[in-house]
Amino acid sequence: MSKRETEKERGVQIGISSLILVFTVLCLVVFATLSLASAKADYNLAEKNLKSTKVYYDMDGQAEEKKAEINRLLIGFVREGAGASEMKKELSVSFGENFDAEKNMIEYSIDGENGQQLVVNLKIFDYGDIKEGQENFEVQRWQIQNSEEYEIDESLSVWGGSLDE
Amino acid sequence: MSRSSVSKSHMFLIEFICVVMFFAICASLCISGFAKAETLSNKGLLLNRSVAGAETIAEEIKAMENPTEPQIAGIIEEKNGVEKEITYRCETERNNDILSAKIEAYNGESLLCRLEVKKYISNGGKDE
Repeated sequence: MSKRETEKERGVQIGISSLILVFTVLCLVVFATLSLASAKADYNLAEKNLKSTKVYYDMDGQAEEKKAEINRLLIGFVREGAGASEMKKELSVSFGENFDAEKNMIEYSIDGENGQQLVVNLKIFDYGDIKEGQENFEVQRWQIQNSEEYEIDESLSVWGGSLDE
Repeated sequence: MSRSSVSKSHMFLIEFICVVMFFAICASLCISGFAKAETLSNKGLLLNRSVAGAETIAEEIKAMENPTEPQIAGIIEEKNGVEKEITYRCETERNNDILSAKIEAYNGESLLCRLEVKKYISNGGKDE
């Protein structure tokens, strides 16, 4: 046997089994990392969903309390025998700009998180129709809206679709 | 057998043992990673389902004209009959004309989610 062949046998052997191992381990590590990252992202999304649902029901609860307060106020006016014009006057004082005397409408909003708010519009019944033991308004709007102004980013000059520009 | 072929097979055996050991270590680490991902994925799925279920119960309570405790218990019972892994519980409290219901979803004994819903009952809970 020549000297060169003997040296080759003594050196570190990297055979086909080592190459297959490197490839398999690489695949395993990549897939394990990907599946872990995906599962973590899914779980984080589920937690965000829970948080936003909680925030919504918190706003909804506050809006229900406000609704109850308004109904009690309306019943109070009738009990006192305030009269229609006096009732409107009192509502204007209590709610300010949020009471539309012409439409007989009260609007209020409950602030939530992430720049959202719950906007409620109540159409108040006529003075003669206000009674105890019922809701003396019709809910016309119970809607989640963005409380922050939406700003369009116009820093990039994007083609608007017209050839004249 | 010549001396050179014995040396060759020894080298191959050593390499093969190293390969198997390294593979075993890497595979055990990766499998634990896969198992963790599976657990986390199931947890997320349960959380999503429990939130959707709790929301359904909350909306059913809100849709009722005058929800009473037996009616709410009926909704919970119906929901628990459909779900296998999630158990719902609901505690109600009445503060004058505001009904507050705390809906909780459990997987076994571990709490998944809790929602609190309020409803204004204009007739104070009296039947018309």
